[in-house]
Amino acid sequence: MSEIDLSTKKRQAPIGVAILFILNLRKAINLFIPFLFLKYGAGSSLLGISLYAIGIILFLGFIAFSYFEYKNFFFYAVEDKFIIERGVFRKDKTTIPFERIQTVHTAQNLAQQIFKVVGLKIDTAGSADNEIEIPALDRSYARSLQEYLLKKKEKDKKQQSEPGEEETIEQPEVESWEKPILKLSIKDLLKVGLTENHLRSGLILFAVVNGYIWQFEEFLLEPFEPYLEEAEGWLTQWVLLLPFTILVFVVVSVAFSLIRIVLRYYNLQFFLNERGLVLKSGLLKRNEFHVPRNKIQYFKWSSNPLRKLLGFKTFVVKQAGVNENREDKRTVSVPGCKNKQLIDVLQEFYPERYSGKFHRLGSHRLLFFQRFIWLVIMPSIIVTASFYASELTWHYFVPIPLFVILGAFWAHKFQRSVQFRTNGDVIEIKKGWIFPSHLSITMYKLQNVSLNRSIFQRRRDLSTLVFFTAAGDESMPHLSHNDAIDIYNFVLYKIESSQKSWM
Amino acid sequence: MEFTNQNIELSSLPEVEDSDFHGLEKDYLYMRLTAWGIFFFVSGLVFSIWSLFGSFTWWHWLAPWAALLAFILVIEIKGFSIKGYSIREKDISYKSGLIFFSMTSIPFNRIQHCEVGQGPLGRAFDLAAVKIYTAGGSSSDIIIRGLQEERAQKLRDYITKLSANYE
Repeated sequence: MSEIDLSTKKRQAPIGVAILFILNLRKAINLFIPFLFLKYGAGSSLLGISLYAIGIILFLGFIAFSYFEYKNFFFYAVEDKFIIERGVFRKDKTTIPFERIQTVHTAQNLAQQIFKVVGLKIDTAGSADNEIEIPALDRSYARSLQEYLLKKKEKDKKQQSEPGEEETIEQPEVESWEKPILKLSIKDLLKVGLTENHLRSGLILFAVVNGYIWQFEEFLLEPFEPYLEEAEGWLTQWVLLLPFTILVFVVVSVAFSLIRIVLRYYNLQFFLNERGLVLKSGLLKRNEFHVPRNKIQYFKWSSNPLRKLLGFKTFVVKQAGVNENREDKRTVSVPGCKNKQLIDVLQEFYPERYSGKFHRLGSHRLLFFQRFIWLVIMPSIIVTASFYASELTWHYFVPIPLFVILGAFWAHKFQRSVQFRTNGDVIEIKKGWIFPSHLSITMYKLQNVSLNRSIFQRRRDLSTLVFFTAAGDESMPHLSHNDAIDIYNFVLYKIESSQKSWM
Repeated sequence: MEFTNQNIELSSLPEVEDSDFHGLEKDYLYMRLTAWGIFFFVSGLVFSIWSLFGSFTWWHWLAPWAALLAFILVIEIKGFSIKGYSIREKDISYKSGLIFFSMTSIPFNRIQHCEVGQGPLGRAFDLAAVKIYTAGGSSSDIIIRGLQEERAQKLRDYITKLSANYE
């Protein structure tokens, strides 16, 4: 890789003008189009000027704006800070100390792919708005800039911890190597797409579409009007529409899953190298994640009934600073992983997982009762009451006991599936019967622990443990109190006695 | 590998024990009761005026209001003795919760930063809170409320000094 000189102000690749133009155009379209169409409709005029004229003026304006934006966009380094200057009318200067840089990754959307440039994204620690993008760089330049920033960051971190030893900091060049773990072919991709959790895809889509769709209610219901008029009451209407709705829902959900998977994971390449792991994927927008070794906090893999048949697992790398609860764009998740590939990765990063025997602990029956009462009994009571209130015939009540029995079975299976295990170095938690998930944390990556105990748990002498990492929390419910205390003390001891770099 | 030690006797590990915990300042209980007092006084006043001059009936609110008041009093007074913090050589712990007990420990080598905060009521009672931040989400942070301000400052300095050793 070539060394980069950032002592003078640098601009992006010249083609950046086009990229910025497209970015601006997209923003403008989002802003103006609904407004114009709603208010005036196409072909009408505004202030006596035809829409076409306005369009041309705006177009030229945007080109000029993009040009000046390009001209005014600089990045450079001063001492231990990386600086980005931007802005046409209002100038912004963003200063990032190298040590605050969390990760640097590259991404390519469609426009960037066409113009053969990449966007470089820099994540910083702390603030909410923590992503800064340089939208257009030559591919090779972006790569060396990425390397430069990551190197600088490591160096600055070290310097902080041991001042006075500045000269010896240059770390020995680690031999570079690459170990491919997984590539997804089109066939694999289709398998992954078809075995998605379609219910979830459907619900995501539903949530998005729901806002718009009821504007077209009349149109949607029209084909059913003759049947609906005969039927009386909202419930019977609903029952009539239900099979059709389910069919549409299923077809649309499957299609949506497929599209989503192909867009996100097309030509996926997952490999390890000397510095950590790398994931590249995407059709219209190519994402490239580089997760450095010490940023990896823990691993989690999950499956579903269909994928279990294929032996597929979705493998997620939890990295520091990425919020796990939201569906974060920066989450590194690898679908279609087989057991062997999983073990390859774990052996590389968590060798301690393969030494020593695992000690297993389950979760108390209380978990079964809680799930059963809150997720099965309560909804059943509410449904029964509302059926009763709407004076329905006995047919409607038939599925309810069935639901309760299935629910009890599910709650039982779920409770049995929850397992905590440790070999003294690694903590693993398994949860889930239909959608099993499994996570593995090495103890020195933990940040702190918490022991929770409600009065219901106190009566049975149980406690829940919560393990906090820099990449999110994981909990193990209803352990026996003595076990929980032992684990609590042991984990603290492990964290406090560890000298390893954890973040 | 720097640290491998498989055969650790669990009983030989240092334990987080109840006896290590320091209680909070008694003034903190009074401060909390004052805050609740203000809440119940204002809400009671509003409801009374509403009932005297408006359409609200007394027995609609008086019983729930009094029940809530009694409940809060019991929770606050009984729960106060449970709240406490403990500082050991290598970590700091905080516990609280009568109905939902929770104890959290943060090792000093995992503390990001630490600060002292004081609200208007705290100023009146000369009490301050020490907030200890970690790298993850806010759910893993500890806030020790109800310390004398001077003590809070000292604690903050102490924690900052200790955690700085590890960076």
